[in-house]
Amino acid sequence: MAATIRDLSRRGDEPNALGVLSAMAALVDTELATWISAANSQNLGQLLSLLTNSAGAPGFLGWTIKARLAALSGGSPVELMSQWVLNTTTAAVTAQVGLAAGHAPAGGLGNHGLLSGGRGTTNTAGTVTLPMPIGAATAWSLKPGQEFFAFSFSQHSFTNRQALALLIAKDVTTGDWHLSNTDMAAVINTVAWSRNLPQLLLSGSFRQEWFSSGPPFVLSRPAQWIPITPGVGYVVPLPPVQWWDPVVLPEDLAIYNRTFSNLGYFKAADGSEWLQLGPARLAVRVVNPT
Amino acid sequence: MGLATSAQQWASWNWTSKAVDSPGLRLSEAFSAFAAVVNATPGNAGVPLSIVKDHNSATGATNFGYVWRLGHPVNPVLLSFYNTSKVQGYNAVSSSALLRLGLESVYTNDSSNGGYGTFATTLFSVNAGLSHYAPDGSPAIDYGAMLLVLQDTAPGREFFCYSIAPIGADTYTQNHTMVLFRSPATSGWNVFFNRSNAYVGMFYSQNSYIWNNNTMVASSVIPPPPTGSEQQLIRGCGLYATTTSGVFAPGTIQPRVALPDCLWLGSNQISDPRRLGRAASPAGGGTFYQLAAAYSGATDLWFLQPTGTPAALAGWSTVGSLPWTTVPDRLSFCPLAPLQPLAMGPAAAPDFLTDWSTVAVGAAGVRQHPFYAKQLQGSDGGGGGGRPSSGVLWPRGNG
Repeated sequence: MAATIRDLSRRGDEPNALGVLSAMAALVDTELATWISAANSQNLGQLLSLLTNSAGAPGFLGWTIKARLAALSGGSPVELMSQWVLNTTTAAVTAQVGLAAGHAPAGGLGNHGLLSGGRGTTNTAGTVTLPMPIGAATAWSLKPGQEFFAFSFSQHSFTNRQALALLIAKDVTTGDWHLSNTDMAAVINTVAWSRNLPQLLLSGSFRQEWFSSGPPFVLSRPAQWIPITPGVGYVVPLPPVQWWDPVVLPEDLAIYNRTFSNLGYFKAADGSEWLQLGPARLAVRVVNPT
Repeated sequence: MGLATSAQQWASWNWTSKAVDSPGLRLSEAFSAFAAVVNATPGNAGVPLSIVKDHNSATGATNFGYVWRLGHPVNPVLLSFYNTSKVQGYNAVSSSALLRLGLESVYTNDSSNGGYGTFATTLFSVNAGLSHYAPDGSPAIDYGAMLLVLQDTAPGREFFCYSIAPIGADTYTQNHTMVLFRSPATSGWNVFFNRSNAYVGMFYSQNSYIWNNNTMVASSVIPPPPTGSEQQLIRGCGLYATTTSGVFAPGTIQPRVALPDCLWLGSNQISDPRRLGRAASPAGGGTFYQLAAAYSGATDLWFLQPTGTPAALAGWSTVGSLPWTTVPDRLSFCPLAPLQPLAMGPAAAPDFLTDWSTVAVGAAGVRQHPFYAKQLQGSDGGGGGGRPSSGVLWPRGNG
């Protein structure tokens, strides 16, 4: 079943990009809250929380999200967190994912607080001063077991002004939620929970068919993450031989090897149609195969 | 049917021997037994396997190998492999064997090329090293070695794999693995050949060929296995050929040409040992064995032998009886979730027929970009959830 999409693209005829971004973010706030409410209602063993939205943190624009999983660690539910926050004064974008235990509510980023540990980047890649249109879309599905919500936007088509700010998705293998985002330069941050090890799983890359973003162009499914085994050669003591279950994304998501092509569009030979979200190869199915 | 395995080892290995119990004729024995089974399967009526030449065909003291016929309803192919010198073959320069694939129709069955015949033209010819780790090899370092045979005769997914590896401590000598396998997506026997040594960055080569439009074409492995220090092995890789027509043509839905399920490919840059490793599967139920190991950007090749895997050949030993060294740490195994067929994109993008980039909005006009065209159809058009009521990007003037 194809995902639902909503176009949030906006004109650039306001005095600066911030006005456009703020209007866009307010719409995302609403859609995200609605989807989270619906997703929670059909996943009673887990809990997604929107800790801080754009309206809730003056001077910042973004989302801090917590996912409490059914999986347990040390007797307590595992809690993952994702944070994508634009500082509207400095244009710095903080993109971070990790365990919610790394979140310091008074640690910075205004009312968002600061998430540390896990994986993330901070760069000054947003544009807030110049008048500029944006291309933006949300996509979501509430099909049980295949739920996800994604939001991406681009300020222009260069390689440093596009982001997949939000990706909340089921790990189809375990049924646990996992969280992902990219910064404005296609660096991926993903956090999931490996039940079989069990331990935190961080990823910065899809398992892709082709490293190149040139031809041959292929759309491949299912999308799955490459689990990092962090610094395995240098960990003391060395980790034993391990087995990682794959972290698999919902069926409406795929990998298409064109980069920095947010809102690019692909029609496959089976009649299915796919919208690219963000700069890092993710595509979402918007039309089913015929 | 499922995986079956057999193994032999020799304290003093000699590839250049015609003795019945020598490695060369043992290999022929294994291949013949496999061919007899799979040729009897109705689905293989058009693709019978047979032996054209074996070690008994060698005419000189140096050249020993085989010519196998890969039957095909349109273009039968011969796979020829023989050593060309007794150089130990520890790097690309001293490669000491030749892999040839050629049409049967252009083959002359004569005593040339060490007894392995003449191709007027070859489809592929690779100077493919075989470490001649025999007492008369040069240099002679370690000359104990093993021959391993893996096979599955399950219809549609048949494969035959042999692997030759030295068992001593010398890391220069090469591991050499040949895989022939069927895939529902291709019309004949596909070939995957891998060789490497474990010495730092010294030598590595991987060659693979699949059928496309009844022709054998060179291919590569997708998804690309992990490399470098990732220290991860994955299962589920297949072969892919860059062709402009046939199963991999742009604008098609393309089935996977999957390698045999037991094979795991990946990286192993820093584990010791880097060859002949063994690891109990952390998921239980079997043991991983290392067929080929290499440093740097080369691909490690392992296979998973489930507990209780039967022996394939009477009189051979079990895989577990060989001198493997347990790898206790560092490595990880991560199977791929089963892969769907690939949707091939256009030959060049954007083409404005199947692929639009963001900048194509301006290029072709916004109404021609399918994403925006859908939105402009109305609030519920084409799977879209509609648009904001004001301030939208397109079309200008709408609110």
